[in-house]
Amino acid sequence: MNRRDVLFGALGFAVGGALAAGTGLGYMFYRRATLAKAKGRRTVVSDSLDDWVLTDADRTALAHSADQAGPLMMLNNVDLPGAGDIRSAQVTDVAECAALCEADANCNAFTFARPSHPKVEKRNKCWIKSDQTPPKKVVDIHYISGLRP
Amino acid sequence: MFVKIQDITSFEPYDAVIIGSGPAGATVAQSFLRRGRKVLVVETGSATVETDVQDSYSVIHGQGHFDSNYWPQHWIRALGGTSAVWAGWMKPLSARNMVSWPVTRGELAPWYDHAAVTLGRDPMISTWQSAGVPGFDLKPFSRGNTARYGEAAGEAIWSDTHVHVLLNATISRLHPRHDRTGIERITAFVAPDLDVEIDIAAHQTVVLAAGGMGNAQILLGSTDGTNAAVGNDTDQVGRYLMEHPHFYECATLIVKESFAFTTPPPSFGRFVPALVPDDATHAAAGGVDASFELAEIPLTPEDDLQSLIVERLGGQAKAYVLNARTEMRADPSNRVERIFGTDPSGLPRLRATCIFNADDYRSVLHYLNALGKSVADQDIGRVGIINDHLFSNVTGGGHTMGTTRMGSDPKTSVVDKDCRVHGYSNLFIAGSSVFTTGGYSNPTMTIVALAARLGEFLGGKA
Repeated sequence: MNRRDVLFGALGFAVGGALAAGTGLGYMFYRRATLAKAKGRRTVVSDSLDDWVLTDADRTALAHSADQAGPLMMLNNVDLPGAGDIRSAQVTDVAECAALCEADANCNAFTFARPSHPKVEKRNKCWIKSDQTPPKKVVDIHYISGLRP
Repeated sequence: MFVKIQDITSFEPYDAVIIGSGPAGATVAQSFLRRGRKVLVVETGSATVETDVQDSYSVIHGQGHFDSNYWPQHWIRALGGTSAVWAGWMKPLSARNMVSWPVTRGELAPWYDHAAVTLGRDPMISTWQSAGVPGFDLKPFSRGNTARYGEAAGEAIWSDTHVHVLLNATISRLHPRHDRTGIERITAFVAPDLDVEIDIAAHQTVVLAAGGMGNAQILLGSTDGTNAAVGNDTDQVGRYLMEHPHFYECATLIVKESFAFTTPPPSFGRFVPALVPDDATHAAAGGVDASFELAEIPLTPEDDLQSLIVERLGGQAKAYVLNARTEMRADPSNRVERIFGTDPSGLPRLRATCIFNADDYRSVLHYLNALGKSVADQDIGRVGIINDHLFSNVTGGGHTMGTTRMGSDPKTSVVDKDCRVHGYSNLFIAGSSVFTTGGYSNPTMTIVALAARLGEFLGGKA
């Protein structure tokens, strides 16, 4: 997955080279974890794109990425518990998880557990889900979810 | 040398009674002993920090941004005072931090040099700076060894025969002359149960060096209830309480890998790099000062926003988290005042009300936006503001300032430019309680500089 694939927040990510995501611009403002403290090193994550002091050129580049948005809506830092799990798989990254969903006609949502997940057995795990309207969306920095709009 | 109350047959030989043995009291005592003059230093605590003394004497009811647990941690009652917990950060106030003071920064310059040397640093730490980014200079903090006046740093002072140290004793009352032009007597409570009255003769002076809380407490307690407390005729004692608002991790700065700032020469010693607004940026923010420590952190690859910023900067970048140490506006409604109850010596219990002004926050936000704009305009980097940390995670530096502030007008201050309590010929105050405004700099260096200046003023008089 290249850097273009996961741009930011819900702005977009690519599946098979084409940027997917799109209508979920609002989710970009999903409250992100403000501070993630991993053992032995300190990382600081900013709240949202609006908290960055950007140039017009930055924003133009951002808008260009948004134009290429595709069918899957990205939910960064969101878990979709109980949204009708069809199956799960070990994957290498979120793009692979999204591709599995794309390729599955019954898949309407997916959730990917980041490698930073505290539970080893959940790391890099991908859940393919059937619910297009998940019962709840839980903000959790260890997950990225996708939803067909 | 240490003395017991029963060993003192007469108070006549002392040229001064110094109340408190922290950096301020120790520095004044040193000025006297260097001229072969004798002083009595009175300290509430023992040679080492004792929990029961701390719990009995350092009691503050906190309201506002700092609670009852906070203030006592920075008011240490033992030989050496609060230097026992000093973290060793040093930085002088700048000229723009002293515009409301009756003393100029220029007048303090030689005393800052003196303080630097006394505290084991090179005087160049006061002046060294380098270019930061447009609108901001790199002005590092000096962070070297700590001078603990209860330990090695005070040994030569406390062992000198000119300095008599009376431990476990608290000055609980200053008695004004009938005409209120000076102090004629002080009451010393010697633990556990002895009150000693000490007459102050014409040749003697009294120096309050009991800390940012203690100086105000002793003045506020010095009343028989029929007259205003000593130094408090205009109800100024205890007001203008200030801290230094600290906003840790309030922003992320991502810069190009090639970005570098000039580091200080080796003589500067250990340093903490910090960006400080230049005079124009400072004025635009409303004249309240701030510094932004640059602490390098790893980039967070899983943070998609960061990844975009790095991409926009050409792919190679590094990250800093910014820790802000800032100035708080001097406000008379932030104050310490007496409430019911007393400590074992009879000094009144205190309540400290300390609330940051909305403009104090706005200034920091202004600076972060200005810094972000500056680095983005230059395409050096980008700043991400972490709003939560700025507005929900503020703390202080353990700095208690302003409660007996210096000024030329007795209506808005307690001491004059010589640190003399307005109207009282023989009563002086040393310590951060005299700060008119606080800047953002850690106060110890200024405390020692002002105390050395006061020591010269008093000790130099024959």
